Amino acid sequence: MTPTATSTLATPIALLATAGPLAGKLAFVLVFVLLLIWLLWMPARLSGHADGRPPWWGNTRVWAIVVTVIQIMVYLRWG
Amino acid sequence: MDKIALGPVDLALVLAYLVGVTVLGLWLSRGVKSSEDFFLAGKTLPWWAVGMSLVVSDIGAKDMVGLAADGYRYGLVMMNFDLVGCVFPVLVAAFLFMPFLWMAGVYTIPEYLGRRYNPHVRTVFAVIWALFMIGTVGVIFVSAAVMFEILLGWSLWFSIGVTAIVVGIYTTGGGLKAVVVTDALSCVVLIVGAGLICLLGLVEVGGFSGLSQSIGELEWAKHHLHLVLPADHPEFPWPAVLLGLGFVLGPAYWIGNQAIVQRTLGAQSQGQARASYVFCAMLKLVFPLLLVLPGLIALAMFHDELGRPDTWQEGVGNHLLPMMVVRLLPTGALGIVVGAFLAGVLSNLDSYINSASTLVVTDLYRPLVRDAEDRHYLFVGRALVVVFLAAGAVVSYLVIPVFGSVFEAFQTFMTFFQGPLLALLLLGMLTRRTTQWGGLAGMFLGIGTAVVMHSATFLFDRQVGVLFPWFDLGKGIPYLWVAWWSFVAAMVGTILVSLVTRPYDKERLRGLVCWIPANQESPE
Repeated sequence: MTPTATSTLATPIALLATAGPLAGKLAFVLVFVLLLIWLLWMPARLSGHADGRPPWWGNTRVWAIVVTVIQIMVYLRWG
Repeated sequence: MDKIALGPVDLALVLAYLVGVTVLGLWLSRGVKSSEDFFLAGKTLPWWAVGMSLVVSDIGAKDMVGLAADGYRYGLVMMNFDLVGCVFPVLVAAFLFMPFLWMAGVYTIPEYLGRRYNPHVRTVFAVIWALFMIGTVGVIFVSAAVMFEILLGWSLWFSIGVTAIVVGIYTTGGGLKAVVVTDALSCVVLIVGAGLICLLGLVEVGGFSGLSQSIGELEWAKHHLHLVLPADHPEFPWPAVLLGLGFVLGPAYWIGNQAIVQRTLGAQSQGQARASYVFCAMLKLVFPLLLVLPGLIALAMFHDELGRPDTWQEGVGNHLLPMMVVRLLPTGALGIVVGAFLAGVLSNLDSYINSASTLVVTDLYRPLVRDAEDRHYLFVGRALVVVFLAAGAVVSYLVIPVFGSVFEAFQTFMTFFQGPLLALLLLGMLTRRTTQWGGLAGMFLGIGTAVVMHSATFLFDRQVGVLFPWFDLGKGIPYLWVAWWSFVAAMVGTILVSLVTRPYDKERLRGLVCWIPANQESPE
């Protein structure tokens, strides 16, 4: 993509394409932060624990949160 | 050319793995009494086996050799295919879609689409998937043969014969349960084999700090240690990676790919289906490193010998991993690594063979031959495993002369319908208002958009900046963008037509839309 082409276009994609790697890194991190928020606030019905909370090691929501936090750290460090 | 010379210990390990997998599959075939046992393992699969099977089903021969070469060529960015392209959609699917699909009691994704929309949508996607799977089997055969020719000097037909016979025996006998349990074994072998290469390679280059230092000295590899590349990168611009891979291709693969989803449908319960996906996401944190890191280690070790990848002749990249294996690994360890390659090939192949058989019986054969006895469908399912292996061998014979372009063509073919498939699944599962006619319109609009975008360079030449002004059409439109825009077109088409057509009533959609649960409760 040439700078001329992108600077003359006001389309969202063209604007997105002009954003630098830092914006990209933040965008990736943001996706996983939003996923983390959803996992934390998700109704118990979706996590399958509506009838009572299982021990932490048997709780899929806990493990999903751990994986998401690791992802955020990976993109913050190597993004 | 570096070739692996297997010693007696290595050969014994490889043979033990092949025999072990075959015997295990045959032993598991004793429990297969019905078509549900064969296609869905009688819904008895534990979460850990499904999770491991999900991971290795995603890794083929071309991935193992190809990702090492791509690691050398592009660096860490290739890990996005497993991180944002897998972990993100898998975690969403684990809580939102998989337990729901399990509850719907379907065997295949087209079956769900047929019940949610209409039989036409089911048939179109079933035919597309069946064709794609037969082609994929042929491509797996050839890519495995290319790898084994490089690694071991095996001839093409010997390689195809070994893989087809082993996979044929345990898949025909044991169905999905044999596939998943042998995949779990393959997963362990793959982790040990790939881990050995990484470990010995890191020792050779002085650990992670030595690796970073060596790569940092190469100007052309300045982005290699970053997951996010500039937005104007010709191959992997970050907006396309995030939108096309993270929001379309990844979710379409992990929610809509029959070879993937079928394992989860065979889990013991909703809770086990959910746990299997979360376990898969955990393993996927490690796998991209195991597969991409060898490429970076090779870059640090052999950049003087191999030079810049843009100067390589075709096929040089395929020799990268064998080169490392030969130069790094001692006797005995070689056998484990070759076993790991075999494990990847077998698990990739058995997944597609088993799923193709399930899909054709469920979505194409059963609607034509209704009311037959269950053992008839079981027999047809088993026979189709053999048919698909034979068809794959025929396809592999046809594609050998033009293999590179055929592989690319299949990848391109996938992007034609992945975006529309995801749009139909999401709208169908999440909204009651989506209608059958909206689904049909969205499907055709999405596929049409993908075809036009892929063909833009040829159809309109470079004058059509007006259509896709932000792309350099001389290079073609990156397939990640095609996936994204075909998804958007399918969403828009489905929504617009659904707004002016009549939806099914609530009872008709019970168990098919997330917010309208089936009456029966499932075990957790």
